[in-house]
Amino acid sequence: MNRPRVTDARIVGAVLVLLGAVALVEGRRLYTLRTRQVAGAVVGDDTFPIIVGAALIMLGAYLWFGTTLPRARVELPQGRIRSQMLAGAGLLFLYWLVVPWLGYAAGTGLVSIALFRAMGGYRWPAALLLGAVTTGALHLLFRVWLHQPLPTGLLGA
Amino acid sequence: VDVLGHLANGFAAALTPMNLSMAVLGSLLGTLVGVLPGLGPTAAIAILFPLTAVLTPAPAIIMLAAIYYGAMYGGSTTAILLNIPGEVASVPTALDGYPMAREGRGGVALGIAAIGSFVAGTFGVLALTFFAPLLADQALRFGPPEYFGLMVLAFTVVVSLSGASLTKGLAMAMLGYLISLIGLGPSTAEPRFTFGYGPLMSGVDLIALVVGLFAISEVFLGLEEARVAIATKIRNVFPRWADLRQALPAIARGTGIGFLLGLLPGCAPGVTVFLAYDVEKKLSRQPERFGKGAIEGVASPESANNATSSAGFIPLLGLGIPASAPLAILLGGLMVYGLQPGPLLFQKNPDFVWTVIASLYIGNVILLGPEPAPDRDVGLAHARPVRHPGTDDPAAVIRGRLLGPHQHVRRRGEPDLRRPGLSPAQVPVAARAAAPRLHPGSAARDLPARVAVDERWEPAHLRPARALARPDAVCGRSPRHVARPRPLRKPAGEGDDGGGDGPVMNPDHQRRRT
Repeated sequence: MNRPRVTDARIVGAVLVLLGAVALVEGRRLYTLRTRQVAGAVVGDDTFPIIVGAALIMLGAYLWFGTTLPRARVELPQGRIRSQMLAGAGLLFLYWLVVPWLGYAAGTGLVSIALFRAMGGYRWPAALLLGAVTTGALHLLFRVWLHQPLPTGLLGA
Repeated sequence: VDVLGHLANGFAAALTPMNLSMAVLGSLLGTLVGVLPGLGPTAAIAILFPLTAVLTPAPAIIMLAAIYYGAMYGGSTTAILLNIPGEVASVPTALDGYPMAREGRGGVALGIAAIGSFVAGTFGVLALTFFAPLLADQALRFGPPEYFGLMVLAFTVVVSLSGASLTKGLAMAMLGYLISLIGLGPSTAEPRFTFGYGPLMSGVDLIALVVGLFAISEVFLGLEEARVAIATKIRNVFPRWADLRQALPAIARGTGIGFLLGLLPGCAPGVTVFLAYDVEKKLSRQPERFGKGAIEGVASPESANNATSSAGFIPLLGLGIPASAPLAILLGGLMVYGLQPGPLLFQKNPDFVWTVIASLYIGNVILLGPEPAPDRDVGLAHARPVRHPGTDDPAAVIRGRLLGPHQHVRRRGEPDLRRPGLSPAQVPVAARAAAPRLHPGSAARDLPARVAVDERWEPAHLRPARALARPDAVCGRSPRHVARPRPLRKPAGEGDDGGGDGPVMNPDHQRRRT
């Protein structure tokens, strides 16, 4: 039995409808709050979420039922490139997680060494050296020169 | 007189050491990034945006604007010398610039590109000086109907940037609105779309958004591409009087087309340069010269490019409407500093506006500076260069005189290909063949070997513009929206000359002829 083919347009349409529904729910919550807090106001914080939500649902439905997106052949990355991309995205996520705990210097050093190794393909000595130089340069630029407040972490580094 | 007074004050502020150094630094960085194939002005501003976030508003916006026009200008260098347009707006420049470079007139092409850019940019800034305040003044009298019309005009940007699918473009616009709604509501201060997550209370940070959307995507795209470059030495960047006389009318026409169309939201340089090139070709008494190294084919699109870039500042500063993606990021930059672009900007922050406008004049002069000096190598330099043998090798001397001196930038681990008999065009092809592991992107895009070999013989005027930017042509990668080239083939019924390696006909060109 042939299953109906899920087209690109339907996937995009479904995502838009989902986001539109979230916007409408949020708009509904804000509408209730507004009518309780500000009597008689015609528009408020709920207006745009409702408009955007309705527009997203209409566009999503149109994509689902009425139209097709321009066909484009998608070549997903394979092999080493895919690993590098996943590693890059994962390390950025890791950076977001560890910086509040390790502080800017240690977190940046750790992640930049890992990025040089994973994405640049450098050997460990080169990755360690480049990571240390990058961290030092960024610390010098933002902390010493520009006096930017940077996370110090649990160790105060 | 009032305008001139403001402008004089602006120059006084723009020429302070801090502002001047930011203009110089931004121009240099923008040109540097623009020279890198695939990194256009949008990515350049996105990547360097965080660096400006720590500056005060005037130097920061001066630097961002300088990065913008520097990147717009920088793309022409690789288009002319390497046949790799740094961004879409440089594609028409490559059509005639590269043939000029192959004739040994690359320096002249670069000189004309710089002069055209300077003339067009200065004209655009002059118009900005006198027209933008008038526009802003009129805009202050706008009522609800005019604002409605303005919003409709702004939405035309969405339409024109949507490409093939308007639905997709509108959906993107709505998603943008949705992201902008995250944070505290303006009337009740109630959190919207934060779902209890504290850091979202202040909204989505623009710098993080821009870096994520543009800079990180560029890094990922760069991972997929193999970059092997050939660089050329140029000897003289000063055009002769005959060249100038030939190019000046084209510069004037390109400036006019670029400026007038650049005033329209959504009419990006990528559109106006093609129009300018087309008009120039149609007006020419010898249109057959185009694509073979016609100097007007470089002068006109380069002028249109810079005129459009400068004209885009008029709706940006006067009405708050960005005409293109890089200007939209620039608009974001203004908003980061609490400056609302639009009619009131001229009234509330005149010092800031006129300082920025004055810096645009200075930036245009600066851009004439980083022109590659004679006998200097130009090209990508992210790998160890492998130079051709020096003057001790007589074969290299002869080859250099015949073909012009070249160098091939070698990737890590790539075998040394310094052997006689390889033309500059063959070196990257051979490099990919010898080390497919280092060029996974090109392996995935396997073109027939015949196409690769015929590459150097195919007359440039037979190639469609999009093919000039294709990754396998020389190096780099194509702009994202440039379609993948179809394999070339000999035209049916044209007759084989029996030579086997004669010029191949592009199917698009053949279709036009029939």
